[in-house]
Amino acid sequence: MAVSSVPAMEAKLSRSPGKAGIAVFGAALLVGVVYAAIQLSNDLSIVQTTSLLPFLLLGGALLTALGFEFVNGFHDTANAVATVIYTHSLEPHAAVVWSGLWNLAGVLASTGAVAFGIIALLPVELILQVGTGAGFAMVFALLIAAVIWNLGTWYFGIPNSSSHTLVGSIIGVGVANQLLAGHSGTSGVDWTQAASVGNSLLFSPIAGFVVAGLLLLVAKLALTNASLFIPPTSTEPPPFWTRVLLILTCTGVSFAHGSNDGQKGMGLIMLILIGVVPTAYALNRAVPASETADFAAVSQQTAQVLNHYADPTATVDDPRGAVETYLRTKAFTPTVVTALRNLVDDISGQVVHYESYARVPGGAVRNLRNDMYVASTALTLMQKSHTPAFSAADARVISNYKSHLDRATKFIPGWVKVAVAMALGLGTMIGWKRIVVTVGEKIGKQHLTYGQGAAAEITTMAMITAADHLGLPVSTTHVLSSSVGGTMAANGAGLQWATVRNMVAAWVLTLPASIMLSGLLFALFRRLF
Amino acid sequence: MDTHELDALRVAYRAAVDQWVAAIREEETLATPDHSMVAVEVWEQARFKEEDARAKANQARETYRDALRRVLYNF
Repeated sequence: MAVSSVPAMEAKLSRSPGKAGIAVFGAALLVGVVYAAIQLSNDLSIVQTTSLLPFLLLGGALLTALGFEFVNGFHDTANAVATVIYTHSLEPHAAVVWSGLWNLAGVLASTGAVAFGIIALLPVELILQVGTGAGFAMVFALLIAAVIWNLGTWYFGIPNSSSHTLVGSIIGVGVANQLLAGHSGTSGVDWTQAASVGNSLLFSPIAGFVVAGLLLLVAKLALTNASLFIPPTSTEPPPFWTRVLLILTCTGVSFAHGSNDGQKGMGLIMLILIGVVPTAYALNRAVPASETADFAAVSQQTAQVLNHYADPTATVDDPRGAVETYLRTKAFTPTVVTALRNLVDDISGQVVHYESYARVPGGAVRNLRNDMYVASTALTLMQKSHTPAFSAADARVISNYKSHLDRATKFIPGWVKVAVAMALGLGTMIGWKRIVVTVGEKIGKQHLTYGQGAAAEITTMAMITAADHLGLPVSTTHVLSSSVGGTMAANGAGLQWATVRNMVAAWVLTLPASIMLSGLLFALFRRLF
Repeated sequence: MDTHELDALRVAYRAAVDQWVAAIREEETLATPDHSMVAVEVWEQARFKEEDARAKANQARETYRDALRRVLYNF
């Protein structure tokens, strides 16, 4: 790095980029905080309690969950902004505000599917007991473990996957829960997810490295503009179309990060809300009473479908208990279908009795939600395992019923999205420097060229989009960091092996470290709560 | 941050590097035909001094590089 000239330097110093953006974001933050506070206050107004404890727990848990998103924001921002900063496509502060705003937009545009996908990885018995000590121990353990590991890797400037950290924390809670219950720890773990993270760990870096390197080589053959492939010699931005491409890919990666990673916090916040104030959040009170008749009809249809697969001679005293055992052990018997059919009838009876979700009394709301959650999860498991093998027509009926259940139990209030968007966006603008410096200066032995920046970002965006469609759990962080490395290798610049070693060590250690951390914290919190 | 401040950081970095080079030379000088325990101990001590000097030079380099990054990239 060398100072090009004094006038250029003075010109750079005289600018104050990002101030307008920070003002816009500050205003959005203020509006968002006020909106979330008003909505939360409205929702809590129906809760009748004289104790302050639920509200203190709620406040603590919400702050921890938002803290996770905040750390996620400043840990992962480098993925989107490092290349535009080091290619002078955008001023750093403008880039970070831009990325923060697109993260925010991504969160607001998200559907919630990922949020409930994350919840589904947790042990079912803990989800059902989320308002108890075990539930709080679970939420606090996995959030605090994820924050600690993310903060630690950020402190050392190591780009690391926040998603892998969260999955590891969830697995840790599952293992500890089983060990504390006196069973084999392995039975509480979703090994499919663990294997997915393992595959991703292997797949993302290699694919990012190779694809970005190849893309750069192809670009060198196809494009004749040599300035694209040599380190910039001034602080001038790249040619117009290269700059547009870099800014667009930065925007896309920021939006994708917000819409995907933001949901992880949302799912955990919903768990907290359901546990602490079930009256307000256990069931979707916005579903109109006019849909009750439809739900009853769909339930009846589903019960008839399940009859085809049930054991006609079986009697089940405790339908939900039998289905919960199936979820825990994954051991299918025809009696499970009988129990599930009874549970479907029971849920329908309760909904019809209360006429709408909004009228379900506080004392019954948690039970009805748990019935619905267990029924939906069991149907999902049966469909995924193809046991029993539902016919295509029956599968459609079941999917329709599940969508009705999910509409009642898997919803995210607007203020939760806004709060998460604010935390993620704010985090994006605060702690980004460490990891940006690592990605921009410490992976390769050469300054990032325009071509390298574009190849790395295009690869990242394309791979994340493709992975979403293919259901592959790739890490944005891993792909981007490896892509930068791949372009360095393809350019013949070489790699800084000390940094590469640290990064790979952190990636490999993330799963065991977060499993250990969250498991130990869960065991500790079980003694406290 | 102006050019004078950058120059001051550059000078501090170069001074730290000079001290590091001196420490390396001192360590090298102490590798003599005297293979006694005492001589080895003195030589080892010089190694620790060299490590301290290297750490100081690296720190001065980081500070100078951070300043340059502020100027060139504005962060």
